[in-house]
Amino acid sequence: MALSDTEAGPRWDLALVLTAPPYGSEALGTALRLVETALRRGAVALVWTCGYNTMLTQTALGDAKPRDPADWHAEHPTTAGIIAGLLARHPDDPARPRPLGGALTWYVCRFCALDRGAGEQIDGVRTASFSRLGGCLRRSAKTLYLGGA
Amino acid sequence: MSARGRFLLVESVGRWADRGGRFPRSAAVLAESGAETVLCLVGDGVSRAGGPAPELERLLAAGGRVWADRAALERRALTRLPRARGVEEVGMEEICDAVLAEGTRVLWH
Repeated sequence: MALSDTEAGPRWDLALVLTAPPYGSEALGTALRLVETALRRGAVALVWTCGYNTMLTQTALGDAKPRDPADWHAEHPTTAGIIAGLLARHPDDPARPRPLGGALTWYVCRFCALDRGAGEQIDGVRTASFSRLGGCLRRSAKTLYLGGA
Repeated sequence: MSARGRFLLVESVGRWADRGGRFPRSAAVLAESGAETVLCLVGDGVSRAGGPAPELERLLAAGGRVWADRAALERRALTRLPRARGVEEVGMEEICDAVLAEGTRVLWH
C-alpha cells in the first residue's frame, strides 16, 4: 500500500492521533482494533500518542497484567504487551521482512511523556517532539483525530 | 462516488451525552446535500442502535446509512435486543475498509 520515504506519495495510509484519555471510554480499544485490522489488510499505519496515552507503552508495565486469583491461569496482556506484539508483527523497517503485509509506526509525544513522568518505552516506539506531528500528517493519506482532553 | 463526496462519520458518544443528536443531525445534513454518508456507531455510540431512534430517521430518509460496530453491541449485550430501524450490524473489517477507501472523508466524534 503506502510508499517508502524515497518514493513519491504518502508515507502512511492511515494516521491516528490519540489524545483521548485511555480510560473512561472505549476510544483506545476501538482505535487498537482499527489499527490491527488495517495492518492485517496490508496498510502502513502511524499512531501518534499524546496525553496519558504516552504511558501505554512503558516497559514497566510488562507484557501481562497481574494474575487474577479467581482465574489463575488466564493471562491478560497489558497495553505495552499488545502494542509490542503489533510492532513485532508489523515492523516499519524496510530492512526487516513484513510477513503479514502491514507496517506500524508508533510515536510518543516527548512533552506529554515528560509531563507525566512516563518511563522507558518498549522497543520500536519512537519518542519525538510534538513539532514533528505536522510533518507526519502531511505525509499520511488519511488522518483520524481521536480527541479529548 | 457522489459529486458531493463520501463521508464516514464515526459516533463514539452515547445518546445520553448528546441528547440533541447533533452529530447524527450533521450526518443527515450531509446526506440531504447529496453526499454518500455513513454514520458508524462505535463504543457508547451504539446506544443509539437499540430501540426507536428518531435522530437517525432523518439520515435514513435522506439515503444515508447507519452502521453499528458488532463488538460494541456484544459488549453491551445489545445484539439480541430490538434494533432501531435501518441500523446495520458490521464488523471492524467493514469499518476499516471504509476508513481506508480512497476519497472517503472520515470524522471521529
